[in-house]
Parts: sequence; C-alpha cells; structure tokens
Amino acid sequence: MQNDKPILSISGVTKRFGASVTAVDDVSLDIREGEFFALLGPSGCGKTTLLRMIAGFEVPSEGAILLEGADISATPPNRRPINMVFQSYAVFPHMSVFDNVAYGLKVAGTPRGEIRAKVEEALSLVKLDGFAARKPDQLSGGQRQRVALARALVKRPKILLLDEPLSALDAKLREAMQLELTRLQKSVGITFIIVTHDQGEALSMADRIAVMEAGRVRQVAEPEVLYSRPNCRFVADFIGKINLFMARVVRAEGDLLHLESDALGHVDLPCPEAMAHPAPGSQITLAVRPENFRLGGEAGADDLHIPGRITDHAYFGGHSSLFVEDKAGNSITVSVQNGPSMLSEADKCDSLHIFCSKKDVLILPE
Amino acid sequence: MALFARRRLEERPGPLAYHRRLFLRLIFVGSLVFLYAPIITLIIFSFNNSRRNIVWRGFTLKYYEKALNNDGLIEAFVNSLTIAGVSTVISVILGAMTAILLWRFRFPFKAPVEGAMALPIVIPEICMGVAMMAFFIRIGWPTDLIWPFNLGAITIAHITFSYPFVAMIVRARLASFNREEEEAAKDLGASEWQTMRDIIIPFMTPGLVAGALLAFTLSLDDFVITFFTSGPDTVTFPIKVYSMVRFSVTPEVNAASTVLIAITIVFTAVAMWLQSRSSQDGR
Repeated sequence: MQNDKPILSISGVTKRFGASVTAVDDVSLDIREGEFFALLGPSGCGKTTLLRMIAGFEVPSEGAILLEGADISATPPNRRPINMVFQSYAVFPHMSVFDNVAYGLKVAGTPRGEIRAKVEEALSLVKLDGFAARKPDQLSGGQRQRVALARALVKRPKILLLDEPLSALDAKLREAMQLELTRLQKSVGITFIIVTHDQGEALSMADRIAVMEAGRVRQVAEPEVLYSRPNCRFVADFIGKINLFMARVVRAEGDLLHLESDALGHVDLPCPEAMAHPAPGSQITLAVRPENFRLGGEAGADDLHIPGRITDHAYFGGHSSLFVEDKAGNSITVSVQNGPSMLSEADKCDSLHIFCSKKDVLILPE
Repeated sequence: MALFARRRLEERPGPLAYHRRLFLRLIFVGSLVFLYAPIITLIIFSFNNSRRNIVWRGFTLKYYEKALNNDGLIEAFVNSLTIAGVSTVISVILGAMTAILLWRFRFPFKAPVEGAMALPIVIPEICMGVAMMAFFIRIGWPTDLIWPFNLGAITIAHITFSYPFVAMIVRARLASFNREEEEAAKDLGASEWQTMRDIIIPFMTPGLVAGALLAFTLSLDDFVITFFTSGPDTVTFPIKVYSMVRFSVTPEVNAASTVLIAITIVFTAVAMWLQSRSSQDGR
C-alpha cells in the first residue's frame, strides 16, 4: 500500500498567534500516501496546531500545505477531503450512533439507501455492529471513540487525522486500541496522521515519526532509527531513556574523533555523517541507552568499561533499572533483564564494572 | 442481638439523609405551605357562592360563567396572551442571537455591550415604565391602531425587559458547549449554517425552552411597565384584575385567576416535558 509519493506536503509552514507566540516555526514535511505518520512532542510543541492547519481550522501565517500537489492552505475544513478524530471525540450528543456516522454523508447529499449501507460498513469496521440505535450517553469512552473513528472513516478521506486519540483511555484499553488502530489503518489503506505526546504510542504504531520541539521539527525518521540514531540531544532524551555524558574533543583524525569524558574515559568514535567536524576543545554530548550496558562478565576488545557502585534499583517486572554511580559521581542508569540470578548477584556488588560496546555510544550535536 | 444492632444503625440518618431529619422536614413542609396556601385559597374561593367572598357559602360555578361572559375581562385575557406570545417569540430570537454574539465573537467594547444588555434586568421596573411611556410619547407612537397592532407599544416594552433573561440563560448553556463538536461538524463537510442548524441549535434548545418559559411568564404577569405603556383600549389581564379589585374582590376575579393559573401550569408542564425529552437525547 505504501509508496514514496507524498500525499501531503507541508512546506515552510509557520503559524503565529498574535505578535509574540510562534506555535509552528518553519516546518516542512512530506507525508507519503498510505503511511501511518506520527507527530510526537511534549505539550506546547505545536503538534496540535500543525494538525489543525492540516484539517483547516487554522490558516498558516506563512508557507503552504499541498494535498496531492494542490495548495489547500486557504480551503475551509468542510471542503477538504481530510477528516479528523478529535481529542474529546466530539460525538454529537443529541444524535444516535447511526446519525452521528451518517452526518458527514447527509450533509454531502448522499442518497439515503447508500448512507445506510455505508454507515453499517463503517460501524462493523470499528466493531460497533448493533450499536446504531444507541445514544452517545449509553456508550463507554472507548465506544464513543469508535463512533468518532467510524464517522471520519465513512467519508473515505484521503487523510485521517487523530488528535491524541488514546489519551483518555485507561492503560489496558490504550494498548488494545494501539494495535487495533494499526490494523485498521492497514486494512483501509488511508493515510493516518496521529498527534501524540506519548513516545511509546508513536513508536509502536507509526511508520514514521516527526519529533517536534518548540514549534520545530527536530527529526523525521522510522521508529527504529529514531531510537537507535537520534540526531540531537532533545530527540535522544525524549524517546526512551538515555544516559548523557559530556565529552571534550581532544582532536579529530579524519573521520575519527578522540574524545575525553570524565565518565567514559578516553573514547575514539567515528564522527556521524550528518555532523560537521567539531573543533578540538569543543564540548559534545555522548549518549548510551540503559539496555546497552552490561554488568560484569568479560570486557571485549571494543568495549568501554566504567567502574562504579550500585546506589539504587527499581524493579519493573520483566526488567530492572539499576542506578550506578561512577567514580566522578555521575549517575548512570543501567537496564537489566530480570533472570533468576541476575539481580541478587548484582545487588551484592558494592563495586563493579559496567561495560558497553563502542558502537552503542552515540554522538549528539547540541 | 446482631439484628437489633443493625436496625439501630439503619435508623440513624446519614449526613446527607436530609429527608429523614424532623427539623428539615418541618422547614420543607412550612415553605410549601407559605408558597401554595394563598394560591390554593384563591382557587377554592373561586367556587364560593358569595358576592363579598369573605366567608365560605357553598359551591358554585356561576362566577366562572360570569367571568366568561365578561367581555372586558375576556378581551384583556386575549390581549395578555397575544402580547405574551408575540413578545416571547421575538425575545427568544433576539436573546438567542445576542447569546451567540457574546459567546462567539470578540469585538471592541464587548464588556460594556454585555453590561448594557443586562441593564433592563436591574433597572427598577417603575423607571423602565416611565421611560417607556416618555419614549413612546416622544416619538409619537400612534395609539389609535386596530387590534392587534394597538398592542405594539406594550409588546415592544415587554420584549425589552424579557430578552436579556433569554440571552443570559442561553449564554450560560452555550458556555458548556464543546467547541470540538462544531469543528467536527465542519470537518465532516457541514457549512456554517448546517452546523448552526444541526449542532448548535439542538444544543441550545433546553436554554431556549427555559428562556421562552421565563419570557412568557414575565410578560403575562407584568403590571408596572404595562400600566405605563397601555392606552385606554389596550387593557391586559393584570391591569383589568387591578381595576376590578378596586371596587370589590368578587369570586369572578378568583375564577379568572384560576383559569390563568391552569393555563400557566399546562404550559410549564409541556415545556418541562419537552425539555426532559431533549435532555434525554443529549447530555
């Protein structure tokens, strides 16, 4: 279903509210046809404003939004073949489930018989068969969300927008819905754009993710790339847990950087392609994911090792987080899988070595 | 023994079981008596077979007959209902539009406009009445029009003081409207008008019904402002009753009032039924 043709191009879009607030700052994105795209960021990063501009509720201050090559920046929302699932679901309370789903078809002048068939199809798509006559106040939150989904999908939009769709559901239901949404997206083949502040949600559902901060897009990539190769400190810190270490550039030899860090000691790492070679003496940030540290065992030829002691640990069922303090007093988080013997052995060690492979150390530009 | 202990526990009223406290029950019954005893007395004495209507002298329906045959009273009654009907319809339309204006739009001097709109609610009625009279005389409003146009001045005066109530009630209702519902309608392809008709007006309906009810009642029993704006040929029910009472309180007045009470009760019951039906539909 997926190809590389962009269905939606956002080019140089800026949105200002008043003179002082810039909610979206020069964002350019290409969204491919049939993909599940996520806009991820902390609250106030402009992701919802961007979504509202795609839906047509806000007009960009600068730049253009192109749908299949045509500029729709000034098209009102009711004339865009784009539909939205709202955060509050916005199910019409005075209408039955059927009338809610039928509304978009009715205002478009679809013949009655056709409406009935389409609504029933949409309701069964979201597994709400038999609920057509119910009123929204007889539905649970999860069911209301399905109504909102069916109502948007029945219009067969080119793009479906979802604004924090799972934030109001409890943890168990949220997980089930994540799976269902991805399945639904694959089966209908419509491009989905989801806004979320939950990185787990974005990682598990989306084909590609744009991470936003303060109105700007920091990185656009597949979930695996985003996690394993974040391009900046913000993305690294926002996606998952990560240990950050300050390091000083001693010198650069071709593509190889010689770095000095008080936690990791002397490290030489290849300079990332996207980064300009830093001048000797400048500061850069190194990052290591907690699960890339190992406790004890033998150090390989390419491994870094850090002596330290365990100050604390937190148990999460399948894994535990150990908080290791190195000689310089930096706290390092190490994630270990819980086996029968692992924790008790580590628990006892007052002083130990933790290891990590050099290839797992990331260099982050500021 | 255990059974006995449990019963004791059940008998003690809980902190929120107000209906089980004697003191509060007495207050409840007392307030009902003070509220309704005069009205019930009025209704009972409308069947009293006595001209002076001070002592009960047996049951009769003749004062109902007399009231029905009193052309002046019937005319006043029809006038009142006409004024109330017309002013309610116009007040609801104006009030709803004002509420939407204040809820939706930002414009310069919004706060003063909002305050000015609520002014007829707080201005003493007597001042409103005098002002209205002075105004209609100043602009030379014609007093010799044929029915129902001769009720124009009173109707306009009634609209003036009842539409702010409608606007306030509808505004309060709109404050709890989820704007995403409006956006959802537009997102699904509805135009501005379709959104208004299909989403916003159904949401406002309970407020509109309550506002209409209030406007109707306010108009029906207004005396002061009507007194100043009515001419010799435009007598409303309260003014007619007042002039009748100046001679003597006959059961005829009671009978006419009882009919008015009955009409009001029926009207209120219908409105409440409509409202409960629409609130079942929604929230």
